[in-house]
Amino acid sequence: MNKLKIADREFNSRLIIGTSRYPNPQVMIESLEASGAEMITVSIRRFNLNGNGQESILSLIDREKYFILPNTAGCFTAKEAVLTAQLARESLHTNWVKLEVIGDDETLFPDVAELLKAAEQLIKDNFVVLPYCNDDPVTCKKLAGMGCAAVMPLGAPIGSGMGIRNPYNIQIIREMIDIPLIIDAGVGTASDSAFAMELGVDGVLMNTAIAGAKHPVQMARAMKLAIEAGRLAYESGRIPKRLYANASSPIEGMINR
Amino acid sequence: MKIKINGIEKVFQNEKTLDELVREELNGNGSDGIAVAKNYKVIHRQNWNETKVNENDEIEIVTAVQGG
Repeated sequence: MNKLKIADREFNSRLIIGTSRYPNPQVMIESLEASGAEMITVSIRRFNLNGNGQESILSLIDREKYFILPNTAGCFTAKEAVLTAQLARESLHTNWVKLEVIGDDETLFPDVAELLKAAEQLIKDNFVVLPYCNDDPVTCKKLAGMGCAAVMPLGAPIGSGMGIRNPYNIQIIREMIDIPLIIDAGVGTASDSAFAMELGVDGVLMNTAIAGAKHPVQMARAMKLAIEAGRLAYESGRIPKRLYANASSPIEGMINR
Repeated sequence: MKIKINGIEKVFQNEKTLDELVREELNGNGSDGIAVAKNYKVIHRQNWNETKVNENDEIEIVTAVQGG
């Protein structure tokens, strides 16, 4: 199977996973291992000064093994997202960013206008931008056209587990853009991942589907296998769907004919 | 001198450089993975020593944490 190529990097794994919401750090580490993921996401937050912030995750992550992709989660404006990306670059010495600019607290859908603004600014500032976006072909085309390294349309709202809500849009996006297409958000179980890969997407990014499962380490392995199976099926060229039957056994030599 | 650090107002008697401020706030924790912004602008680590903290400055001291 081909490798996943994004910007100047190649990955054997087409599964990108988040580091949030695991029952404990040990389960997180084991889940990352079981998933086979090579790229993982982190957030940028205020450091824990006087018990009023977050603990760094860096001591838990083997940076020789995992490529860290910082996100701009929690940003609602281009200004916030650009600053967060710049802080991430300073903190992690990477110019890669998973760009999130959120428009609504309940759905966590992107604010498209601010997302496009932030993407443009970050590309000018030499970032490798992987934007989380809606499953809207027009927005994906704009993001691809301005120089993003990939587009990452949601399958369904973040953490919803609803799977790929609009596979037809994903298919249209696949046909319209040449850069890597990664489903980011909404995946719930292994079949969702396999289905996404069979649509021809290049990878799947998930967090809650694994971290929130009853047995995260097992689910991480399930996702790994599903993504491999889905990609292999896609590369194998499936049969077309037919309305009527197409006999699989030969007609010639039938008795009583 | 009144400044905001990670959203919280603090008062200092003396002038400080950003480097001095960050060391005090980190309180013995290493600065690996730490990034700092002053008034919405990232200040690179190599410039912390030359950057003075002024009245009403808003300082953000951040790090990488768990995230999806």
